[in-house]
Amino acid sequence: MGECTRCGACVRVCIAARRGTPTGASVLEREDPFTCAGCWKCVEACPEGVDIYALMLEARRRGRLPESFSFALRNILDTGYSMPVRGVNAIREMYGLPPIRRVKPEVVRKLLRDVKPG
Amino acid sequence: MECLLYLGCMVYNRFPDYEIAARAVLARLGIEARDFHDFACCSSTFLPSVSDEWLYLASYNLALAERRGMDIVSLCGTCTGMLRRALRELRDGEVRDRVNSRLAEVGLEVAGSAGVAHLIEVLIQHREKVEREVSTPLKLRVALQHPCNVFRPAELAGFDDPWRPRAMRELAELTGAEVVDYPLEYECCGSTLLLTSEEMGISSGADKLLSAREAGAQAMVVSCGNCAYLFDRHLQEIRARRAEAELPTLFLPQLLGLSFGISARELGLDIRGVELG
Ligand code: SF4
Ligand code: SF4
Repeated sequence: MGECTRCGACVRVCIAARRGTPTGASVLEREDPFTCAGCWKCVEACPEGVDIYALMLEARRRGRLPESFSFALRNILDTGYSMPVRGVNAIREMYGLPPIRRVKPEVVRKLLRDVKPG
Repeated sequence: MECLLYLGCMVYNRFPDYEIAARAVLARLGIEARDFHDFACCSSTFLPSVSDEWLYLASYNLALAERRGMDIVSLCGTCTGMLRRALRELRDGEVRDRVNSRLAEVGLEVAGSAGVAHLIEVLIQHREKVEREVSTPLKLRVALQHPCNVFRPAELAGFDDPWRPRAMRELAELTGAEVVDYPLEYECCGSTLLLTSEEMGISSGADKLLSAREAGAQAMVVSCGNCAYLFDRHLQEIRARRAEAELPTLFLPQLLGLSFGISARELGLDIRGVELG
């Protein structure tokens, strides 16, 4: 993995930077690592092969979780899905789609023991 | 041929018409989409942002597919990206052992042997069949939204061009539709920005739809629930900002299905009330 030279190539392709997220010389220097579209143009553009994805996650783990992330994480811990899923199978039936059996909550709890939803 | 259709949270929750159309089109190509019972979230952007345990949930999905002996076909960009990322992590024997000791607690095991492909990838692999199925060439001008995580990072995607992907365009052109070039075509839709900034997400959606409309498009063709979430579910907010940014959203398999002569109803077009004109 390469070292960041602060060349700015990642910032030039970053949609979040273009839309006004204060960003330093590299996308890794921005204050808010959560405001990111996840388009990974930065990864593609980096001439040094910096592992921007991993470093971005590290920054997020140090930061304060936005409410939208907490909401999704609580859903995942409760049901295994990031969005509310109650009643979805009934709606599917209305449209002629087969019901999908959902993951058991205890399976999710065993797989995600350490996840804190913020 | 059969595959497991991985819906992901977004499509399962909000876009039955995408699933209906995907199933219909795959069936025409001789691919049976099997129900992915017990699937869970791919881990998305949420779990990796807080814990390494994201890999357990992503691998859980892969383990289910292996047990059923089928490859996965996914419908969204991020799901595809995260499942592929998990596959790559699992190539490391030590990581795989660690994942397996956790999966053992739920009676599963993963080798990393199931394939993961986004619908676009499957369709382009069957392009000759797609071409043969076109019976009603479309008279429609469309713009394309290429789902980022299907094509980037290129190292995970392993097909097409990460900056200017061609697969969707090739497929859309087979339908007879005119694919417009619009200045913002290869930009990310910006939907994920909605998570932390409604303003950034909506303005990004408005710019894209406007750019496509000004190029003459009559519909925005997407192949990801997250893109549709912005363009379709937030259309009112987008229009409140830029009234002219009005464009119906079509899922890629709906576009293909129409050219195959499948009825609008059988493609779920009535569900979101899509009107093309
Ligand atoms: S992934 Fe995030 S940081 Fe990287 S270019 Fe896209 S929006 Fe910017
Ligand atoms: S493109 Fe790579 S080297 Fe250049 S600033 Fe960004 S992370 Fe650093």
